[in-house]
Amino acid sequence: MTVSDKDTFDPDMNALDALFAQATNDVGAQPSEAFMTRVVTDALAQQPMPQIAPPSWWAQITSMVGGWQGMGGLVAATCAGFWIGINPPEGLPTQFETFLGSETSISLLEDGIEDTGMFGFGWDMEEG
Amino acid sequence: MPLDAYTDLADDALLAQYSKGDAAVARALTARLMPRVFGHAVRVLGDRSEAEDVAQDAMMRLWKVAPDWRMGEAKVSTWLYRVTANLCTDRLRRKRGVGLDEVDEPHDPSPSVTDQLQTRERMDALQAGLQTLPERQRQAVILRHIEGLANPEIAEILEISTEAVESLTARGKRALAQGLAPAREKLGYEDDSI
Repeated sequence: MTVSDKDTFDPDMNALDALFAQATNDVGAQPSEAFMTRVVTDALAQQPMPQIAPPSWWAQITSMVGGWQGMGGLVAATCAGFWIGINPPEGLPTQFETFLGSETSISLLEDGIEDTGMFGFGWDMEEG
Repeated sequence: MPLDAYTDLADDALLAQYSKGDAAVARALTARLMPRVFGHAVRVLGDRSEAEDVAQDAMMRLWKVAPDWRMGEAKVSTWLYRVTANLCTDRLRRKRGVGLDEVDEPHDPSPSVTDQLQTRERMDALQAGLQTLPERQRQAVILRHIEGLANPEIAEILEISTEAVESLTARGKRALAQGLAPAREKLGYEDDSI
């Protein structure tokens, strides 16, 4: 006869098994609410602070220019500048001129003042 | 978040969340582990006040070790039972010499009708019987027959071999049955099939 067989037919063992089964759900061995609260208080006091992840490089850049609104303005200004660069309105120097620079000279002598007969009103000729 | 929202998560996963600062998890872990820790301590020590001290100490050690806990390496409940068992052993060694009559018995916080009184009487008798067992036998019997743990896990908790656990529980159960036999009729097991 094995130990388990002996247990099955032993009234003392059966009574003990019944006792164990009752003990498993015994409210007398349950912690009180006040004690549970005390342990939770310990747990919260010992708990590490929540870890906050550092912002990504992109978030850092957008925050530097004033967030998404600032970023939108920057993109709009960049697009406008680019468009003006490749297709400048009349009156603005072309890209090429801006890059190399250009000389502008105005010659009063050659560009018609003499032709109009206004040069010294002919006084130099009279004095010889 | 409600406590039952965590039922699908293993103890070590909850412990990892606790370490990240989730306050709700602290409550969920306490609700899940505390009754087992306290239950074991109160049955081994036979004193609610001392069991509270031990259980609080064991849980405090868990909170402290939580940030360094390695997922999947050890079972949280096994570790906690081991800490509790060792703390109980330390207490009992310090208390050695105190007579059984001086050891408090756990009491039901809401005793009322006759059935409850008989249940209480049975639980008190079991507790008194457990107190007569040597400390290691008592721990093994409680873990096996009341906490319902498997022998290999008990072996891990008590840091002994599985064969030693089998021997401890068998001897403990036999001694308990013999000790309670005279009271079987009084406890209502003659005509009460539970």
